[in-house]
Amino acid sequence: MTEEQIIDACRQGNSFAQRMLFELYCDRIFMVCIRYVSQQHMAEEIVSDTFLKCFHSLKSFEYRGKGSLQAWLSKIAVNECLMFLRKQKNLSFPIEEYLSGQEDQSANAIERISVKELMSLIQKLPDGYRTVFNMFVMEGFSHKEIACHLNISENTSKTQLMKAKSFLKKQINAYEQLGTKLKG
Amino acid sequence: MNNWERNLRDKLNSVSPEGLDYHVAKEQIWKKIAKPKRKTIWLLPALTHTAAVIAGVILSGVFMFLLFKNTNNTLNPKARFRVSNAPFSQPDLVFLKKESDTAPFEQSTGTQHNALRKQPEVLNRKQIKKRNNQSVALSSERMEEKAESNIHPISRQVVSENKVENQEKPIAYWSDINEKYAQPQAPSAWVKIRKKFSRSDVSKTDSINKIPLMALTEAFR
Repeated sequence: MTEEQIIDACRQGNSFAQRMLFELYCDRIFMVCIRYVSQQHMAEEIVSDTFLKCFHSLKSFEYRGKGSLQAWLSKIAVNECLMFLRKQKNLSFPIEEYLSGQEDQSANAIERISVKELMSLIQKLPDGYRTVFNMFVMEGFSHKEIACHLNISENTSKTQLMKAKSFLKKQINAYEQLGTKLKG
Repeated sequence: MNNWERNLRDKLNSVSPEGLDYHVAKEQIWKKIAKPKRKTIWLLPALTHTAAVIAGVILSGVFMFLLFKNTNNTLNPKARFRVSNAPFSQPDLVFLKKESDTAPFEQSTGTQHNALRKQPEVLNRKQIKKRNNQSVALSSERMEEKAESNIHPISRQVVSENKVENQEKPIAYWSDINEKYAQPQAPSAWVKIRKKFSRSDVSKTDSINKIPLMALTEAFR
């Protein structure tokens, strides 16, 4: 059964096809959600809301080749995460000076650090930093789009991203230094 | 997007939940998706709504009960006072006419009104005894009257109608009235007797004493 056939069956209300779609994209959607909310039970709740919304509005979805469904689902998941964070009132964006021109010293350090450690470092970021970082780096939103989604200015979005990146770089360097010391 | 960001994204996208030690409870999530949500959405508002309505009904009932209870306690004495002290009010004890004698529509509105507005009185034992005796006497009188009316109901009516027919209505004319007042009136017995026994040298009060008693009695007989 191809992706397009699954989508058509889901539109007709076929529960088997819906289950197939869920099994196909559950892990990927969960990974999107866990980057934003950092707690497993919350991420699972958002996953269920995302699929409910997906099945409800699948008739309006236009299939444009492979990957389009995943992008559409990811967009729904991100919106659900942002709604969740707004409800929790965790989203705060402290106004700070715009930081620019920092040297990229830890470009190779990412390759040396494990994914698990990297994920834990991202989850340690404050909610505002983490949201802007995920939207810009992982989902590929522009600062204008982020500003529109989060109802903030573009400069605030840039500042939040720079702060998040500098925080991550510091943490990765510290982790590397700790690893070399342990090895030594 | 620079290299650092690109590397980071690729690294994070390549990993699965199991690689990060997350065990997603897919079955539970699917149950949530498959379960219809309407029941949970509508049950709570419906319950709260009915509870609010019931509470409102109970509160309004209690309020109305207390309100009417208070009005009964406070308004009755005022009404009694008004009736008893009204300038043209009739006495408290009102006896309505017999139904057989007069039709209900013939009764005056005043008596009906008073009978309706009569308030219950607080009586002591003596008053109750007195009232009972009065009521017994009245009831016996009524019984007698009723018996009489049952024996001669028609003849009474005929007599009363004949009386009305026989009575001639007096007619007054202006000319008669004028003539009556124009004619000189005849002197009364008193004037006559005074003239007869009066003397110029005696005052009016003394002159009465001088009239013999026999002449007075004859004059006024």
